[in-house]
Amino acid sequence: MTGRTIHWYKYASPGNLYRLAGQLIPWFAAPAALLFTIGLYLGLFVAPADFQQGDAYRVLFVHVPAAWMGMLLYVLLAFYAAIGWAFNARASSMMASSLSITGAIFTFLALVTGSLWGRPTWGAWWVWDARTTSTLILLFLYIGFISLQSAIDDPRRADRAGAVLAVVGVVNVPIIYFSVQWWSTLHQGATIRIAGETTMPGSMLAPLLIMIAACWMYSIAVVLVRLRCLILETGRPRSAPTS
Amino acid sequence: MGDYAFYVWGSYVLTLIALGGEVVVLLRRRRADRSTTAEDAEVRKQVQP
Repeated sequence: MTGRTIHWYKYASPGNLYRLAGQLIPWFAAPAALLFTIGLYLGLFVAPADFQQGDAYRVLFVHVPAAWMGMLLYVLLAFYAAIGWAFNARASSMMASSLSITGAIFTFLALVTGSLWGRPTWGAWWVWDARTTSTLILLFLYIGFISLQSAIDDPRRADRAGAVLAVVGVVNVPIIYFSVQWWSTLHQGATIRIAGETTMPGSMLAPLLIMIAACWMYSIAVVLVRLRCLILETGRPRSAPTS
Repeated sequence: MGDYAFYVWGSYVLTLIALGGEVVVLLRRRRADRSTTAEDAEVRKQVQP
């Protein structure tokens, strides 16, 4: 009896990765559009107003997913950059580059929507709180990674330099996450806990989880599209299609 | 939404602009890359004996 074995190492080749990415994109783009529609409808029109914050809390449905994606994409970026650095795997470094812009956009959105939420609730557009400050540092790390890669002509050297920055900077992600526990901060604690019950009622939790899933699907889709663009731009794969 | 409309709608509109803008830029980039790849293939066909 013969079994069909998938040789995952073949996707280290940009050509094969290009094809795989093209096949996967629709499977994430379509659910992203659907989940965004459902999540936005539930968050804006169905979820009840908060008894303390009123309707101001609805910013949560874009702020929390953006903040999560900013952190998660940086961890993924650091992972792929480290793999690309350690094994000299060009495809892995391209994946890190593809993740950087989307992660930066989400981190920027987390900061801006956080300000828009902070103004009516804290009375200030910005405070040098542990979480807000460390999230700002995360944005600087993203910008630094993108700038560093753009500034170096040789792609291999650019990948290595970016990898060093990414790996060193990843220590900031647990600082962001645990800052509300380690320091006395203005920012509220975690609403959704991995271990333990959440304090949020179901009518609010459901749209939040749907929006988080939507942002995940969206991120995967756009990162794969960018990866395909990068593969085409940095070198034509051996058997890449022209359409 | 009363007094909070500016903050809530402002957040959602900014998010739409940011993510929508990313998609538009990416699609334009993909179109440009594909046309460049097609041009390269055309040139290779012409120079091949």
